[in-house]
Amino acid sequence: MDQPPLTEPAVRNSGTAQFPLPILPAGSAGRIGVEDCVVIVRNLEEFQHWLRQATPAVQWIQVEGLLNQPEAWIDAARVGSEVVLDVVMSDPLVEYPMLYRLVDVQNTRGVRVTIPMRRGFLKALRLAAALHLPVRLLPTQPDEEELGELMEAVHFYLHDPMVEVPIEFFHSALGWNIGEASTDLWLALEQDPAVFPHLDEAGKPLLPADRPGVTADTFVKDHVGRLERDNSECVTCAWSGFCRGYFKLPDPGYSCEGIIKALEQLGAAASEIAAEIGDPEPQPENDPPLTNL
Amino acid sequence: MNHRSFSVILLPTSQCNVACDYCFEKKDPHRLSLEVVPVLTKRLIDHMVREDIAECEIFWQGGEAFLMGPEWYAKVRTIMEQAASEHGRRFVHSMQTNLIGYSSAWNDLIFDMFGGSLGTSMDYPNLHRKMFNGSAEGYTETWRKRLDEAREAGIHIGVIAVLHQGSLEAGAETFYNYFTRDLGLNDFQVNTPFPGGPDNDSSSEFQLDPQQLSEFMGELFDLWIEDGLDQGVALGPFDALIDQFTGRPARLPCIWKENCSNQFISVDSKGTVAQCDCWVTSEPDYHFGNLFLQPDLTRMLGESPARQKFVERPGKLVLEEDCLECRFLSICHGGCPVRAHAALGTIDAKDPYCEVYKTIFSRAEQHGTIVRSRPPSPAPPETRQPKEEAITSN
Repeated sequence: MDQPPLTEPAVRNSGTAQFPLPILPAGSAGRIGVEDCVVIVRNLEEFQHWLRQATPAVQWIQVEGLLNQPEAWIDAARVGSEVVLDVVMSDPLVEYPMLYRLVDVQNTRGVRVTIPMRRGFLKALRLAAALHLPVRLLPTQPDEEELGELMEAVHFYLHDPMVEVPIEFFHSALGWNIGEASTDLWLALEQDPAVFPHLDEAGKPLLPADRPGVTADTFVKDHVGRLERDNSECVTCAWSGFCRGYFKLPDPGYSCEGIIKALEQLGAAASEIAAEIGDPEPQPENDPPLTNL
Repeated sequence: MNHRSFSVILLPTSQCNVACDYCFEKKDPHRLSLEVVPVLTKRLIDHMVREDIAECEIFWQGGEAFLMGPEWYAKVRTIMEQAASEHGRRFVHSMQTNLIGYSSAWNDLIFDMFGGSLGTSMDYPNLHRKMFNGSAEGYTETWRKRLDEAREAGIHIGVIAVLHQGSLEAGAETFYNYFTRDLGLNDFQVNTPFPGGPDNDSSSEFQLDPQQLSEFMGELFDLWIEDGLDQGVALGPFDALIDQFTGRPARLPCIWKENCSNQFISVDSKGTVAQCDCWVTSEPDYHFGNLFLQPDLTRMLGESPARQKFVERPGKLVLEEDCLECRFLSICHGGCPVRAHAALGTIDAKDPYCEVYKTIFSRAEQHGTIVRSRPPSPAPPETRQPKEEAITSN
């Protein structure tokens, strides 16, 4: 695949990345060399190495588990290379005050924060937005408490005038509803293995679920086909064109009721925006159901 | 090189030629010697090189910065410029003075070194800025004369006004008219006060009722929107807030930065380093170190336990205060540590003017909405220029 994905990641080092764009751990990145890629660093040594050694082929560095190490961020603010960072939080409830460590880094390079949708994520999301840090909110299958936070987060995103940065996946969902962005949730969250293959140190693809015989290229299509065959609620869901069964992993029986409520809030906002700009009706009502994908 | 900003509030002396009631500086008959300026310059440039910072803005303050004389500054400028150019760096200079010692002998330097611009201070009514003989009237008279002389020489003057009980009693309109009509100024800012220095009879004058202060600030904001905005009058911090709420690049004052410890330091004539001028001469517990004793400023800033308190403050506030729930967090971040310390004895608390700031922010939001929606007006007589970021001490 040599075409860019339908949605671009929020942070990019160059404007000419080749896709699929492998996301691989620092140990293997050294072997891969000049190919366009995203490098995952998990300790200070790896981070400091790649801050200095990143070639233009490194589209961004995915930084995991280092928010609690202040020296990492002092260095990142100081080192001259302009490689952008995706800072992945581990436990947002504990780590959110540490986002202030990224303030100075932002003056040197682009920074995005990836927040797992775990309890307390709303605090991290609020602070990231206040610090003008773009956010990728990474959901799995949220429980009731997390869904409560999700509803508040959507409201915050839609109605707080101080939010000036993109918050994914809300941003793409809104765009999809308005019909301005042709994307899906897998792409918006950089989780579609056909476009963003996650590799282990040996270069083997890590799929979102173990599916014998399924490759990275066909994973999402296969997943959607399974849900269709199982007559999952996705078959009749108005949002399936956007979600493509994203919330049915790891448990295919997970009820999307809470998720759909959040998406409906985004849909309603999209309708208002569409009416304001005189566009036709937003997509969900007209979108083909999952069976047509 | 990266685009981080780095500023130094540099006090060449803490001596002063006047005796204001509310001064927080511990006055010491010590001056920055020309002999040590190369060392100080080297320390700053080494730090800029290590941190990959291209430009450093020096805010010259005191005490009274004019006590050093124009020849002294001319020599300092030569030393600093030469050293900076050798390392591909740049110093930019600003001056905050009480103007009392101004004469035409300063003019060439002011245009060469400070871009023809000076910052000064005056309150209304002036009850607490005094000459050594205790006369506030004498101060006002002399200052006004110097102001006129400087303006006649073509020098742009920006004025900081510290609010006190008398200002609130005079009312926003009288206050505004004094600066814009009586003095004819088109660039001034209002600062919220904090009790500084040793307690005296005037201390209570600077402990303002938040409700009264909010009302005053709101009225002043309205007056400026009505009368000043389109006439090219810059009134901080309202002008920066209007920029913020109309989607223009805004340079908010230091009290509302994400973290002031990222932005600047202050250095006094003895080489003491602290967060800002409010700490450097008078709060030894909050000193970061000494530039003349510790050759590596970067290391000092990285290792100083006192600085670490400032670095960690905003994170503590979102944990322990209600700042995270505040819709104005992105333009306030808990406010000023000096004001928290002055009122509560700790920097790990939000600014005691929290409610006042919320009033101002709400007002700015309302005005911003109106300003944004109205059709473009013809160019004002004197278009507002983006101002330097304000370092807001008394």
